[in-house]
Amino acid sequence: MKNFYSLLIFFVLISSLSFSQSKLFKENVKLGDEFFEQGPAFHRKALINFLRADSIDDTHPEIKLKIGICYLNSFFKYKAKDYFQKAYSMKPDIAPDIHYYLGQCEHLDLNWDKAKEEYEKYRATLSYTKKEDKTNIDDVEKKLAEIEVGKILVKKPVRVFIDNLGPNINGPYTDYSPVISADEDMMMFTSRRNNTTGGAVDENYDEFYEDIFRTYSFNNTWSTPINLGEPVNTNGHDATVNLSADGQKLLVYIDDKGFGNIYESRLDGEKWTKPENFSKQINSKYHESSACYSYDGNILYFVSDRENGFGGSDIYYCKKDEKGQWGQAINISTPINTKYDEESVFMMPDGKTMYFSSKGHETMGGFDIFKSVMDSTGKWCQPINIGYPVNSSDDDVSFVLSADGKHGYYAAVKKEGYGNRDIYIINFLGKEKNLIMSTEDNLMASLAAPISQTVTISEAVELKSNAITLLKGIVIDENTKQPIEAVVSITDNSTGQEIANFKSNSKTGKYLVTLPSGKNYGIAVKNDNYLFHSENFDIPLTTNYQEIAKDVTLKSIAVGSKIVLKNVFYDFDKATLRNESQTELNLLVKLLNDIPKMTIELSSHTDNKGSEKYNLDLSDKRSKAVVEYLVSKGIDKKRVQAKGYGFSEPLAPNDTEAGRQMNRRTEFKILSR
Amino acid sequence: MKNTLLVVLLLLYSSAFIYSQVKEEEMVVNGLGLPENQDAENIYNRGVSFYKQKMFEDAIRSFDKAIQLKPNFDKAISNRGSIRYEAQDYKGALADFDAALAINPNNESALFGRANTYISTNNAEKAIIDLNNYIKLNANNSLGYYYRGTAKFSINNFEEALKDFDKSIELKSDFDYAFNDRASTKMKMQNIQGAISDYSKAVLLNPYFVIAYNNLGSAKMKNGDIKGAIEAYDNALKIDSKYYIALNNRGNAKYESGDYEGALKDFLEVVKIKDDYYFAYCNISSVKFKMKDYNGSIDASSKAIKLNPNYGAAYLNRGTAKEMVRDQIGACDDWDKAFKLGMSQAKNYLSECVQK
Repeated sequence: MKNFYSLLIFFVLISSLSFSQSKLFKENVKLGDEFFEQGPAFHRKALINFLRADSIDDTHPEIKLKIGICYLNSFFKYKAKDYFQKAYSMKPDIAPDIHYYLGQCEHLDLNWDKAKEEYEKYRATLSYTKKEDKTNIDDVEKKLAEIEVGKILVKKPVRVFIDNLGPNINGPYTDYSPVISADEDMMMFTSRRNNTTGGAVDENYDEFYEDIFRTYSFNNTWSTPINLGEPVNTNGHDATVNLSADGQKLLVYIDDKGFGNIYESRLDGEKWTKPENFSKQINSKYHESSACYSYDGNILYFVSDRENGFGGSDIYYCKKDEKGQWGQAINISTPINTKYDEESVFMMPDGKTMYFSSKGHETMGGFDIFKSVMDSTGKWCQPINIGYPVNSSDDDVSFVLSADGKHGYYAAVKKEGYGNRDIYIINFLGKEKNLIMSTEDNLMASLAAPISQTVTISEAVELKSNAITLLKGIVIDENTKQPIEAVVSITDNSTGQEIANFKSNSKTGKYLVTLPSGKNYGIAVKNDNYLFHSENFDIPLTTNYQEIAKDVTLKSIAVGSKIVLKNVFYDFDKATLRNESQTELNLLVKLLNDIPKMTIELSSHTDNKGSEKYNLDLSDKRSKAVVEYLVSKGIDKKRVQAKGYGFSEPLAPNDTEAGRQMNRRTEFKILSR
Repeated sequence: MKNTLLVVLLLLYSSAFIYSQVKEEEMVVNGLGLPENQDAENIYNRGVSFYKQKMFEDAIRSFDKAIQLKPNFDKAISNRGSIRYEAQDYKGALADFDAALAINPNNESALFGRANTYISTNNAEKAIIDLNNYIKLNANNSLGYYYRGTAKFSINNFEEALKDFDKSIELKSDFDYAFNDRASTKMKMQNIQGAISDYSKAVLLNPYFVIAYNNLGSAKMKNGDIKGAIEAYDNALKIDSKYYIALNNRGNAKYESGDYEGALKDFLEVVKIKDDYYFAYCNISSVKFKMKDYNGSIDASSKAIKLNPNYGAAYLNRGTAKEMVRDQIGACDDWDKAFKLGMSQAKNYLSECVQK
């Protein structure tokens, strides 16, 4: 029973709570709808109720759709996407323009392809033949065009630093419309902070009324903003519009019960005078929201949505006449004004450069800031989008620029901001600075990789002879083997000239002689007590250095001794003595002269080539030729007997050339002495 | 030449032997019929032999001795100059070549050697005079025209350099270096297609000609053919993976193609090979900047500056990176330094440095 009551109480409480929640939900939805129906200006209030309702019951896609729409019309547009996506996922046919909203959210996030996809889906729901769809078609076509612009601008961003001016300037409230003195030492801006004049809250926006604040720059730091106070600030909306180049005149926007007009305040000493309304040429029954003096103060450019413009709000200008009166307002016309809205006109001190915001031209979404320059004929050139990220796909307005063009100021809503809308400074870095790439090449190959041994050298010099032979030997007695001092004579057989004549060592019998290679030489060794010794030899040309040992054995002058005359030469196959034989034969002449009683047999020998008769005949003739030479030198013919032996007395076998050469010889034998 | 050296050594050996013989017994008989004194020539020849065996210290000692024995031995003086040239002792080389030519103005080796010494010491005008004389004596030597071409190139006389390279190639149609250098001359004369053709010929003649491959890459870069350039640099690096100039250039090509990762990899490899190559550090600074690693960019530029405190480009890059980290004062200081070091574009940047 106890459990029953407990359960009953539980259900009663739950039902009561549920009823209460349901009631609260319905109340918030109803209230939200009431604000929502009043238009975008009231969407902020509607949002509060819808968010409450959604927190009570989040199963209603319609509520989520409206929250998304409210966010899109608030400072915090970036919060809308989540609600649209949920609404769509819960109920795909939630609204015919859901894809348009989703497209806007993707557009704001710079998701170009997704945005395009959503916009195209939305466009597909429209009919080009239905008159009521024309506006929407135009709108979505413009969005699609903005996407194409945005793609290009984002791909090539301008080089800027965009910095929040910090908590000293920006707070949890709304701060915007900065204006600066030409030297950037002073800045004024509009704020809806809690110390505005009168302290009242604008019910429509649920924010404090606008006031103008002033701050100074010291060492690049802005001082704490001070309310400009009365008479400029009032209990109503008082907002900055622009400052004259000399900083002496301030243009102020005053709501004027919804008409919106431009006023002028002057700096009198240190005080700003009460803002004065401009003439009717400037302020009309329409809305004038923005204005700017020319550099000399004689032209006022301003924005008005008056009739007969190009569409929406346009930029106009008035010139001051000689009496100081403003003349007729003139629409600045094309190419500045478009069928869409233009806003926030700002003139540079050069008098010919204008910055303004526009929803027309080539924007990447909402208002973008454009620049136009007046040419020498007074015509404005085609406005140029000053680029991303200064411009975004949201509204970019209230842009002012320092006189040197390096610093811009504007207000924006960013996720990292301090409040609703904050003031930012834009540092323009100018054109992209070229980074230097350092490269090099080895253009001249020989400098990088020298040709092997770049320089040449002079080659070796030719010596008169650079191949030598060292001839050495010992002269000894044939019988006693004792060394003998003997005269050694070397003859160049090619010339017959004696090229060296010296004695062997008396003690050792040794001799040494250096000879050029490549020649045929004759060597003759003689001692008066011995028979002389002679022979010839070749030193090959190819031999660079060689030693030749040639020991010489001298025979005693005794009867029966035989000496081979090795340096006696004949013409081939003939008995004609050749000249190079003379040296050797002259030694024999000398021997015979030295021993006058000595008689000899002069014999000639051949190898075994040819017939015996032939060889006997040849050897006989040759021996006689030698005898004739000796006789010609004064030797008694009787002392010399010629004898030809043919090949009958060989010294060596005839079966080798060396042997045959040894056998071909001329020799003498002592017959008596 | 070895034989000559052997003879000289044997002669020396013989001389020693003779000397000992004289002491003990008797003197050897000179039957050679040689001039009384060819010692200088013998030693000179030995020096030549040493030179050819790349035994330069021994060679120079031989030439010293030969000159000592025969002070007007122009060939020995010239050869000593050549060795000094090889040892990059250009002052010594020049003195020798001058001395040799004072004795014999037609000493071809000395003329050629002095010309190359002048080229190596950036005195192209004098090199050209010597090479003119050399070519008069040796009109068919392609090297004479080749080096005169390089000398003329170095003084920016590209038209005349081109003629010399033409002649050098005419005399030696497979002269790879002449093709490379003629291509470089054509590059200077903005005949990029002609340059590409000649560089291509050079690598055809010598498939291991890394320098020509690198230059071919750079010519292709200039022709806007980044892909072709990278291929050429690749070829150079296949032959010599440590050829840092080609590696640095390939990095540059990758940088220009937007391949920052690839470029950075190449530049980092360059500094591994040659850690004092400030060009690569400067390029690292550029590529890191592009990768938005501004502090890395500053570090790399600083490294380049440390290696070469007078390298204006590094200051310019560092200043630009400092700007991005909001160090405007540092940026302006660097741009100012860059401008003073001849980087004219820094003047434009400095105009942004006027402080309030």
